[in-house]
Amino acid sequence: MADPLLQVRGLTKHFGGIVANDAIDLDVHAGELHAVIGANGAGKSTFIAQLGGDVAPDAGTIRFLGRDISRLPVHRRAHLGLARTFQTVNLLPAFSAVENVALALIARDGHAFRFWRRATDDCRVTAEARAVLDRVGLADAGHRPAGTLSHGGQRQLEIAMALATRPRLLLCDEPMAGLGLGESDSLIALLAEVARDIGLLLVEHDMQAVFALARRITVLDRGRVIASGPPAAIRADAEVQRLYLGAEA
Amino acid sequence: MRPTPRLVIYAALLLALALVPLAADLTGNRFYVTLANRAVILALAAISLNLIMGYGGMISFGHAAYLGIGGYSVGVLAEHGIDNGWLQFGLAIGASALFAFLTGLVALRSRGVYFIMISLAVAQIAYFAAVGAYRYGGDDGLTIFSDSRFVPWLRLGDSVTFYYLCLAVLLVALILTNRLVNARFGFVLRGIAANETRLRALGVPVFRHRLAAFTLAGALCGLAGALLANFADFVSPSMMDWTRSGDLIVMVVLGGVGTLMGPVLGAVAFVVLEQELSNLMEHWRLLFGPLLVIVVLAGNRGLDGLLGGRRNG
Repeated sequence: MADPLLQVRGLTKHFGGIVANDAIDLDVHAGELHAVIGANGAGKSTFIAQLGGDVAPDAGTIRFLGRDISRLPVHRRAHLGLARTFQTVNLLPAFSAVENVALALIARDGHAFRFWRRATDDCRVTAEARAVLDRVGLADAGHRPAGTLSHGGQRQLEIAMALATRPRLLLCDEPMAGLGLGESDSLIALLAEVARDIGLLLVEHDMQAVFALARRITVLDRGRVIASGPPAAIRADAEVQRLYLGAEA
Repeated sequence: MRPTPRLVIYAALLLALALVPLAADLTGNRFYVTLANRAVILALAAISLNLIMGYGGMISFGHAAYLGIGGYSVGVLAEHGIDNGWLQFGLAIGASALFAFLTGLVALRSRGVYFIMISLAVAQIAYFAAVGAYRYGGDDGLTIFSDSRFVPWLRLGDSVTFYYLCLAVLLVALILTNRLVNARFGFVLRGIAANETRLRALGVPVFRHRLAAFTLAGALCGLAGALLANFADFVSPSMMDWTRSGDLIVMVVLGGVGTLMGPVLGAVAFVVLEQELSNLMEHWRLLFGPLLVIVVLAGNRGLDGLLGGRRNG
């Protein structure tokens, strides 16, 4: 098998006396959707924060595209091709949907130190922004301020911004949260399509979505990996059933 | 583009500023030029503050330090017999940019009220450095006996010539600011102010971007300081008193935070009100304070908001 896109080894983080992440190992390959599940407080958010670069690990390594990124600042990781969406919608509400995506495109280009030409006159940028919006199903909402979109629309825009950076790996932190039934169906379809080309790490509470999408599932409990494998194996795992799925069954 | 009432008012304001010397001649009241000149120079300083405060979300409470650094650059060189304007203004802009850069290196690691306090503290260092500079007058300040000299035909000593020079600089600054905030640099800067976490996650080097804007604003305010020194023929530590920094914030807020013409409107209103109200009573700020509150509450975005302004317009 090819080298994984993302290779996490022994990732550990303490907050005071609490062990939020305890020696986590995890791989994500290109074209694979890897879901991380676990009860509240299992350490999912800390894990994502360490991958994104918001939280520095106490021990362990994060390798991305073969390179150790454990100590890299957030924006450098983004430039390498690591994109993310946030648990709570995190947009620029007063900016139009096109402008939100255009910012992502400009950030990817890395040529933001331009002082004269109007940013939104750049046809290449606005055309590409519209194309990305079209891909996530927001073709008609380009001119609307992001804050006026429906909750589902804002979730789609989150993903549009992340995709606009042309990531190799996308971290999605509970993208289904607060969505209605129809909305989450279309989002599941979108994520499945996205995960065909790139790696996708999905943290999600919606078990239906997880089992519909994931090729591999890793289960966290109190900071530790208690199981990792294909959906069928996870469903059959006795400890997982006892700790987690049992509560739902 | 259809001219909106707001555009018409702004054009009228700039035209009125251009006609002030004529009006002063007709009425025989030279003081109008002095008043308008002060407003134009302070407008330039307010524009530079608005760049970081309005568009960049960085509330600097030490912006008057750059007025002082720009002013002292002119004053100190003049004291040593160097009246070459290119050198003086070059030093004013360069020294202010450097001071802003170094301040930014420290202050931009913090946010919110901590940023405000650090910017204030650093400005106080500049203030007390000037107070302690006995060679250059210390607390008493420094009188400048020769105006900056650029080219033979441009005599800054002539008040009308100098006024039009300042007005031209203001117009250029407005055009450049308009381009800047709508170009990629300003677009990203506004994005950072709106959602820093998001922009960082997209790959924007937020710190570097903020530092560049902060340095640019410092340089522009240093230019205003060099003009102010030529205007008053005098520099003193009081130019960078922390209440001066407060006045600049008031001008931006009064005119409209994050709007192109707001700082100009705010500076003109500030200077006129200061003049008129202080004729009425000694403690003119007693009247000015409530007026500011009313404008900000009624207009949302200051005077610009009252004119039906839109952000970034």
